[in-house]
Amino acid sequence: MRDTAHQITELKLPAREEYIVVAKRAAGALGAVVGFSLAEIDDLNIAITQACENAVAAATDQWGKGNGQLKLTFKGQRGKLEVNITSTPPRAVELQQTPAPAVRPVRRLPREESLDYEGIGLNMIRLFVDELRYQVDDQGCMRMRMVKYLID
Amino acid sequence: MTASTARPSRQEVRRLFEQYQQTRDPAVRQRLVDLFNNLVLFLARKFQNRGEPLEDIVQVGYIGLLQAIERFDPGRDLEFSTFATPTIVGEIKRYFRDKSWAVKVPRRLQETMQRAGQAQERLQGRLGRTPSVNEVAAELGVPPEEVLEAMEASPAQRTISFESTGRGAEDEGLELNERLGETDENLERVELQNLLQKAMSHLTPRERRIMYLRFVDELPQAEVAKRLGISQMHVSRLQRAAVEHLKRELPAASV
Repeated sequence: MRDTAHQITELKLPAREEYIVVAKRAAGALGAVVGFSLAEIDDLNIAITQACENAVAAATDQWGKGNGQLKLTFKGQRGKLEVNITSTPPRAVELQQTPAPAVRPVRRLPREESLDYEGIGLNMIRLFVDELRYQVDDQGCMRMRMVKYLID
Repeated sequence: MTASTARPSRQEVRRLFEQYQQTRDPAVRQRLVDLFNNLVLFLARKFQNRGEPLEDIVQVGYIGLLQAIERFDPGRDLEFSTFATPTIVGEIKRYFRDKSWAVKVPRRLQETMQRAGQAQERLQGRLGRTPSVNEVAAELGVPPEEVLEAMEASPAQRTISFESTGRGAEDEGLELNERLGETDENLERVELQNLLQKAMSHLTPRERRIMYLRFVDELPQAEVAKRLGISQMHVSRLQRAAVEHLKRELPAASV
């Protein structure tokens, strides 16, 4: 994809640990499409796995084990892959909700990191991708945006 | 190393680090190691299922933890876990990079991975850059999925035979074992290089890449900008930020 416009791939998964491998596999394949090397895909896989673990934990806290969903959006562009991961409510809850405002206030996670594994996990992700943004909105949905650049 | 489930309070961690800085007492260091056991375990588990026993990865993680304890300055407004994570992860990554992965991976995947490694080297020579997965797959005549599958079974780690020859221009044709056994007169440089390598692990992948392209490959900023698809001014800014970052991570005496 070195010379093409950006392509979007979306993936919705149950918020359960055993589905993280699907996200990892998709990320690996899409990384290959963008043109990443093996080492870059290895780094991406570690970041995606950790990000999904954080999202599963957020969904479990909010809606109970296995009830929430993970939504992954991969945007492959010239020279980079952007991955957005969101923990979303179960379908039934989603249908009952009134439409959300276009811009919803978000809260950032507190910066206490004394063996706070969420925080440590985020620090680790930063070692494997070039950009990372992390937010949890007022309804408990976690959103993470990561960008990894093609270095050659 | 004994397991600890207690969450250390900020005050206690700070007090212990201050005490260790003043006394270098091994008992205090051990207390710190015990307090951060779980950090090592947490990070080591991220690298599980790659053909190496978890306990070996944990031991390597402890090496990183000890290095971080030695270098941590409690006067800085920084959580120890934030400071130590890159060092521990860097040490584990280095371990995988240097370690043979041969034993527990199915033969078909081992062969694919070995062939992929060779193809990668060939292509790198031909293209002058790291090849993509697709290019490696095309070179091997296999679908990209097969290369990815081999990679997922194990990271791209290979041992180098002592009978193999390296790539250094001066030692062209010499086997690796023929280069062993002499005292290195440049130990200080090696130590400095080691410090630099550790400091580099604190940079983002992009910053690391820029530093390598600028100071190892010695490319001009314009060429780096072209390769990364960004402006020369952006390269300049990122390079400056990376240098500042390195200065902060390197011990004062070595800068």
